[in-house]
Amino acid sequence: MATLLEVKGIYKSFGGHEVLKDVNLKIEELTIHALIGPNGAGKTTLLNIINGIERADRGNIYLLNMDITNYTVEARVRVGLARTFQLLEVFSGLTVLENILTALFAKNPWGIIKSMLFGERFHPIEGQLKKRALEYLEFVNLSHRADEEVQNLPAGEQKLLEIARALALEPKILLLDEPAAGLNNRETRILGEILKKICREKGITILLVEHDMELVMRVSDLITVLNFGEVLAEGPPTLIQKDPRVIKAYLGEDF
Amino acid sequence: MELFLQFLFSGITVGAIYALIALGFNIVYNATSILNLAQGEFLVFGGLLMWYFLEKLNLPYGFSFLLALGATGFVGLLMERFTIRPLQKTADPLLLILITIAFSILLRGILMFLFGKDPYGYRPIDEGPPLIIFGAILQRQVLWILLFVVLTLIFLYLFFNCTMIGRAMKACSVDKTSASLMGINTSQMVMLSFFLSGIFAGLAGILITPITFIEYDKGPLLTIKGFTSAILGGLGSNWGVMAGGFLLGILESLIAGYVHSGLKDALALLLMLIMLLFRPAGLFQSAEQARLRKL
Amino acid sequence: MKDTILNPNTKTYIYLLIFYIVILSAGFSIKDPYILTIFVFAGLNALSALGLSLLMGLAGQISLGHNGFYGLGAYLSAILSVYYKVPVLLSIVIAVTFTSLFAILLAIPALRLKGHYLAVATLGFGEIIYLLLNEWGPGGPSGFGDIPRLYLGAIELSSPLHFHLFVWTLFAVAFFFSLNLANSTYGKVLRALHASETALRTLGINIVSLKVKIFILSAFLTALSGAIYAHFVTFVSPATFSVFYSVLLLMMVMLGGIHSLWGAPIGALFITFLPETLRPFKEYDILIYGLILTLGLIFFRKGIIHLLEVGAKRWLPFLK
Repeated sequence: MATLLEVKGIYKSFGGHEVLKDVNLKIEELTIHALIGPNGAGKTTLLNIINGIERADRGNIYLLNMDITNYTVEARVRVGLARTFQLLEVFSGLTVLENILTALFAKNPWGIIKSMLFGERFHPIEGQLKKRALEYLEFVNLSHRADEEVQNLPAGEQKLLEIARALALEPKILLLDEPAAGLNNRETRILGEILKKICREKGITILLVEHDMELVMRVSDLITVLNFGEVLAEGPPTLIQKDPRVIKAYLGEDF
Repeated sequence: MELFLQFLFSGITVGAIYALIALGFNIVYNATSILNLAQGEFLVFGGLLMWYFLEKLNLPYGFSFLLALGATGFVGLLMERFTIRPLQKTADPLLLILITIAFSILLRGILMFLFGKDPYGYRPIDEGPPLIIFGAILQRQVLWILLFVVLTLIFLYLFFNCTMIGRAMKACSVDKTSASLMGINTSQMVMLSFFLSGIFAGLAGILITPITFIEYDKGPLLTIKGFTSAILGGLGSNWGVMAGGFLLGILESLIAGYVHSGLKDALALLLMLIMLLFRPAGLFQSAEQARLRKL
Repeated sequence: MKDTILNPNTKTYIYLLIFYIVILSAGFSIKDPYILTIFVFAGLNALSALGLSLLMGLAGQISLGHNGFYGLGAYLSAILSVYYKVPVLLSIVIAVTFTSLFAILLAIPALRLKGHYLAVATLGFGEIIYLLLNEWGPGGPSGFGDIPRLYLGAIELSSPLHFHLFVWTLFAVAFFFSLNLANSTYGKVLRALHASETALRTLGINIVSLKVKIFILSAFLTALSGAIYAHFVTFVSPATFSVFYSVLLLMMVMLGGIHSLWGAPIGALFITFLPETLRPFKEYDILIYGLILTLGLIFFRKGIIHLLEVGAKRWLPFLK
């Protein structure tokens, strides 16, 4: 297996407070890699840095051995990075289907002048786009909600929509920030199946930040534990579950 | 030298007024993250009301002063209760900014209804002859203005550091959620911030009217100038925005004196745009500091 | 038809056609040139307000500087035709093009600023243009006149009726294109800009380019309205282009209804005719505007268009 994403020596501090200290991470292709750790360990910050919303003070990020440290958020999407957010970032006011269409827009732009003159008429692949959008909704079992306004959906379905929207970008790697937060047990189980399906069927690697240990243990191939901005341990679920350092720092509270 | 001193004096005078408006901006901003664009109207309200109490009702100077001050604070308070509070639940910044504009127009309309379009003025606090310093004329009222600015500074220091309510307000500006968890009534703090901003703008109006005269539609430009000062000094810090006010006043007066008087307003606006674009955190604080203040 | 996106609802276009026909027939049946003149102003305002509505309602950006675009459009076209003898139609084209390019200047702060900051920055921009027109515009604060009227080919637009037909036709065309835009995916992306800029960026969409384009479009419509204004009134002075004009546009968009493009023409008609019905209180127009806007924002945020929608559903059930 080849390394898809590599994070090398990342440092980040906010106002003198070090949030990330020399973080190294290697994510293998076609795996589900979980990133866990207590609150404030720096998981979301690391995700933001990988995704480009925030800049690291030091360190590099490589995608398939290509240095993307200086890429903008948009450029990173083009080379194959997609993500979802811890706090929902769906486009309220738009329907579920329209939310997916915005994701297809970047790769199939239809300029402002053409839109004004013709609307969507004469768009070369108009029908195809909608069909593809519906397929992504089908994938997360949301196609029956396609024409509903997104703010009317329960939080769990909005989370799934965000995942579908990220999938529509056809990424190489998908960064998920606490997708199970706010979901009930049943929804979490379904989410777990969907994550496996994304990895197996679509061939998309997943970096999963999650607090729900059951989900993490069930779906992930490899787990990295982050504590106070440093990598504390790394290994398959069975080993991580038994690692005394991890239990002390983190699992001890939950298990 | 004589000329320079003269420009400097007039710059300090206007600067003190800008500083007081900017202070009001900042207090409300710290409590609510709203920029209250009715700030300039508060000032006009203070000045015109002072005229009414002093010249129309012939009340004693000190009494009129206090009444006008209280009334302006009260208008700030009313504004918060009736316009800001109902809309704050929507949390739509577009609506919140529009409502402050709407209220400023309403206030301007009320002022025109009550006072018409004429400029008003009244006697200064001290009617002695102006002082001559190195040949430059310094009006006594200017010294009074500076005295009140110093008093304001002392008040701010004592209020925010030595009183419970002041500290509670400071806590709110740093982190509203935590403050409310600590049992601080944040809604009252917001109301208080509007009251205080009304008081400071009113003070500015009362003090400046004897020097420049004032009419109902002076508000918008003063609002922009106050905001420019706040941006110069860096929103978030009371001391910073007041320093920004003096800086802007002096700069303007020098430009008007040495370059062209018609351009001073346009240049102040240009300065504001440049600051917003390149240093929105202000001259005195770093971008990091501003970021931590959630600017 | 259920597809609202890819096959835009044809109903809105039928409404537009009906609206256009009603407005035109109003023009033909009204003989009083004064009322017709107000209709022309309403049409010009509707065009400007449409620009602001696209920017605020669709893309969620604030501008208090549209008086600047209106003023630039009017002054540039007037100066070109009066002092440089440029034919009127050409002068309008040049003025509007230049102003649209100038809008990039306003788009730059918009890219960096949000909410309140953007509002004050645009306010500053509008005020600068106003002050410069006062200082350097021909005639200074009192303005200048004898601006030639508009020719369409060989026809001089001399009567209010001519202008009425011309302005409202222009508006209908602009509105048709705006509806196309709002219903297209591009329009949905603009609406998404309102909801979450961060999420849009993580979808690989260049929000800088989005904002610049919508600003230019918005400024284009307002500048066009300004340029036509100059050749209709044949006299311009800075007072027309003060920040108060931006506030009026804001009122039109908000009271008409910000969630729909229809808010622009409805609000423009309402606000433009309002002073006429309030003639006895003309002295206190600021007070009345202030009151309407304040109360409207607190109690009536969905706008007149919402009332019309509700009313239509109740009384005209065959529509739905």
